[in-house]
Amino acid sequence: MSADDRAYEPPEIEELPADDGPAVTAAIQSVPPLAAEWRRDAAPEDD
Amino acid sequence: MRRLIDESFTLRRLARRAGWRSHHMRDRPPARPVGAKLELTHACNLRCGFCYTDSPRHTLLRTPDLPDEAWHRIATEAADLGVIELVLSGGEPFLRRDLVVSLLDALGERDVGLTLNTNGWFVDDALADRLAEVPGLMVDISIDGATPALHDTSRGVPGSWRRAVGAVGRLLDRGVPVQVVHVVTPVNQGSFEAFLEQMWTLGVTSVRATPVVEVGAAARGGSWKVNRDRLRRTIRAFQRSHGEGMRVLLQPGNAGVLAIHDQAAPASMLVRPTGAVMTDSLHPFTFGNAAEDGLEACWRQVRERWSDPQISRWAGSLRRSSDLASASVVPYLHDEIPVGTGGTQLPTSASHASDPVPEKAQPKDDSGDPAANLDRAREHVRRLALDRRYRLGPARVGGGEGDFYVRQTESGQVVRLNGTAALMLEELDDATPAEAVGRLAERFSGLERSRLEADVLDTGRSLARQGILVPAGSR
Repeated sequence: MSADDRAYEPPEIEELPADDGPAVTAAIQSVPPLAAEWRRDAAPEDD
Repeated sequence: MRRLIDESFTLRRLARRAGWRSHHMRDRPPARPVGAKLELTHACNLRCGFCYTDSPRHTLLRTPDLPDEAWHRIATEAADLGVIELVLSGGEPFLRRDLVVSLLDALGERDVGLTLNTNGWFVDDALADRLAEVPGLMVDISIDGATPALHDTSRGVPGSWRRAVGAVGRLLDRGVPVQVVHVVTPVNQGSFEAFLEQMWTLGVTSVRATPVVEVGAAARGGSWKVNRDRLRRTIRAFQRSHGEGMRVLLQPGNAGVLAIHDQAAPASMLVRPTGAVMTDSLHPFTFGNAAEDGLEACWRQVRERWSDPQISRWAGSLRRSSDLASASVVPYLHDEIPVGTGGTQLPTSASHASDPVPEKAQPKDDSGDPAANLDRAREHVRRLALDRRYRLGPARVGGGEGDFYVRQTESGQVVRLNGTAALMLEELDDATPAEAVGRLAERFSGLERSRLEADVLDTGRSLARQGILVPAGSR
């Protein structure tokens, strides 16, 4: 693991919703567009 | 509205007449008891003025308890009867340490949910190691304040805060879930917020705040009224800022079971140190003796006699929770009354309201300045949290470059970590937060150490709650 050590970013921990079963599988299984949390760089309209 | 109904006897009775039902309404006890609480001893090493079991009085009197063999028979019978949860309590149960450990060993094999109530005084490393071997054990430890001065005054014995906090730390170090029970009084209610912050730092699993119930020693007098609305607001504000990582529960009022006695039949039983069987700590009635009659026969009595007019009359005389202290028979302050002795009048029961109780000792760890006391206590708790060693739990880490995903293998829960959180996870594997802070401070040299410490402690706590990190001492 590595972090950008040039600047300190506060730690963030986000619990992914598991309502649809395993979070990763749910994203892979979903018909595009993928869930937003897996495409953090994507603008909302890209979804 | 639901809260008002929970706490007002009149509203509760009106609501019942209007057809309202709550989840614990039950016309009669179930065929078999669902839970049991075993009060293994009358004795306690502390001297709490609100003790609902009035243990300090019994300690002075040396009131005899059932022998070990009798408790083993009762516990086995409880498990055989199908009890799903069992609480071991006192007095202070660890005054009978060998008995407690052997009961936990026996019951742990029966898949019974086990809770142990203790003041923590006697939980040393060796005992904490033994408790960590009991599957599914939850330990409830009483702490009544954010400073030794508050807790030790409340508990009447100097040094009890350090012992209690030390016990919590030892058990959490070994992965044993700890619920801290916080008796709220007019004296400590003002520092409830500081107390919750401190318990968060310490890493406790949950906090249960319980205003004093005016039975036992508390019924001798004194003012115990606290502002429940203020407590609720403090809890809500705490959960907004800290999330749900530490559950905080406020014990509901007593109206639920007392105001509608005929619709709130018991599902559990309580066994006093003499073997006398009660239904709970609020009703002063006994239904046989577990050591002499056997638990099954006692439960039969509960089922047959729960609607006895003696009980209805007693419960009907209560208008509010505080009436418990002035009722004709006060649980734990009067001798218990066997039910079914005939008639609607309660037989005479001896009161122990004027019996001698041990003197409280003054706290020693008190600078006289509450703010300085709190600073010192915070530092003590912070040290315990910083020295807890963690290791990576059953989890698999994926992703990279500031965008990590961790799957907890047993729960299947996935969490996303940013780069800093992932770095902290790596640094906390087989390390203490203090060691991780030391290494991270070199990397982020411009950052205030106190900020880094707080972040590492919070991150460690969150990851431990997810089961991604586990205390290195856990099995």
